[in-house]
Amino acid sequence: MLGKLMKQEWLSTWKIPTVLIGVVFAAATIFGLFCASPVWDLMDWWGADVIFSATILLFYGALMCCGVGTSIYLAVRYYRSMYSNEGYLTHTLPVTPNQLLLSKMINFSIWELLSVICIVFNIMLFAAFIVLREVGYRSVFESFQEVLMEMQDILNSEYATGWELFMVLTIILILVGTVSKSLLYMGSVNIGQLWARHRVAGAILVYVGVTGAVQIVTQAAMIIFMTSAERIGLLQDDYFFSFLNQVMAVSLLMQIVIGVVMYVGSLLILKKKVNLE
Amino acid sequence: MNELVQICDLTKVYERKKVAVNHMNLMIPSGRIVGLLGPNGSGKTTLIKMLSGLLVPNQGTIRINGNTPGPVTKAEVSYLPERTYFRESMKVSQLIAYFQDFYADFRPERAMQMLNNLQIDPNSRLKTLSKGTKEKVQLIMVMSRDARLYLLDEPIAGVDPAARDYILRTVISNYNERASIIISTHLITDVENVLDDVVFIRDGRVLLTDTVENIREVKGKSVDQYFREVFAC
Repeated sequence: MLGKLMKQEWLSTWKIPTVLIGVVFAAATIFGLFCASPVWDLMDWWGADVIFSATILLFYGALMCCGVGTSIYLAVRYYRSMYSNEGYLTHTLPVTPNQLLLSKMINFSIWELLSVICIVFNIMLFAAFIVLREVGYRSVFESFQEVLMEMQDILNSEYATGWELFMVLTIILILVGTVSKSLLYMGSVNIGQLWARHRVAGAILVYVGVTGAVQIVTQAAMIIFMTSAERIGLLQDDYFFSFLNQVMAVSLLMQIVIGVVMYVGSLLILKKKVNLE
Repeated sequence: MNELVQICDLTKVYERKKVAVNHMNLMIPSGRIVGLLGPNGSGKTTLIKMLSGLLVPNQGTIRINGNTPGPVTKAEVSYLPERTYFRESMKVSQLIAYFQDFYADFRPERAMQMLNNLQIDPNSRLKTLSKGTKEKVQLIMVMSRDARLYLLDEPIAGVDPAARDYILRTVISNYNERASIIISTHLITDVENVLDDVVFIRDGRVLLTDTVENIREVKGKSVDQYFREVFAC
């Protein structure tokens, strides 16, 4: 049944996130080509800078549209499939609450991950166009090689001790973060249903509250690490990535805790508190 | 065990202490078509929702074919809510595939036959259909299952009289003697010819249960007349 649920879940959600990903790719290509075009050599007036800045802003807007838009769409989709009229079908399927939750979690996490990959890829694509403009088409390969060599030098220096772990932690954090984020808005919607009235507002309140609490804890951890007497000296030395790794570890722990709490909470609500009045 | 549905001391209290179902006891045997009748707010829909697992009771127990509401009973219960509940962007053919995926007892050929009889194009999207046609599609999906228990909440309220006849014929012809059908409706005259039993509900309690035959022969009244007499304001 889990496979069937995932199939139907995918069929019901794929269109809008795909369009959003397409919009970002189109924006990166169109705005990137515009930025790399020779037209800028002809524009020798103050308005050129404004147009250039506006282009970058529009691209940034497209990125936000993809990242935030995907999450909002998935959260709304979850609400509709579980607690609007569609919930009458969802909750009368011969499946367990665990299967229901797992299918949605996996589907939403895949879309969140695709959204992150899309944003990173398109930032690189856009940046590639800007580099093209700066160095010219012929020397782009040489420039890329230069950047790689510089990065290699930095990573081999004493300042970069622990960068390998940092990269591993970053990848794990992205993967865990997408699952945790999906569970957070699914959990927020479920908890919001416990309100007698204003259930959507309740869900938003839970989401904002948990996100705020995570920010506060992560910031507090950063401040503690930074202000400890040893760190102040060490930060300027070869412990930069070591410091970042500790912050990443705290963030990772927070994401895991949120994910587990939201999953267990959602499961309990679906088992004992579903009330489609 | 002949009792398909066993309801014991069932209670549901909504917010603000509104008691929708009040210590209800009821038995529904297999092979019966039962009319669940009562005025607005008497607890019919709440009872049906608890049977289908959409509401959690505050007190009491429900047993459907020996099981409490959950994945096992949901595989045996075919529920038609009083509202349109399919995703509007779906095509009718996609709905058939959806039901086929989840319900082992779904019979797609029966659904296609009924769609054909009611001249509904399987390739049309739900959002392009009228409210009445959507309700027909819903009923076709629900009645195309070989379920043990059919829960029909106001199944004919939104359709034209001609379609009502077809739907009621469908209801009678599509269920087997092992199954039971519970129909909640206000349109008593339309359905009373297909009913075996009636359950009158008021204020979340069972007021009376009787066979249609008994009401006609002993009371000398139609179910509709008897209902008006019992629930006279």
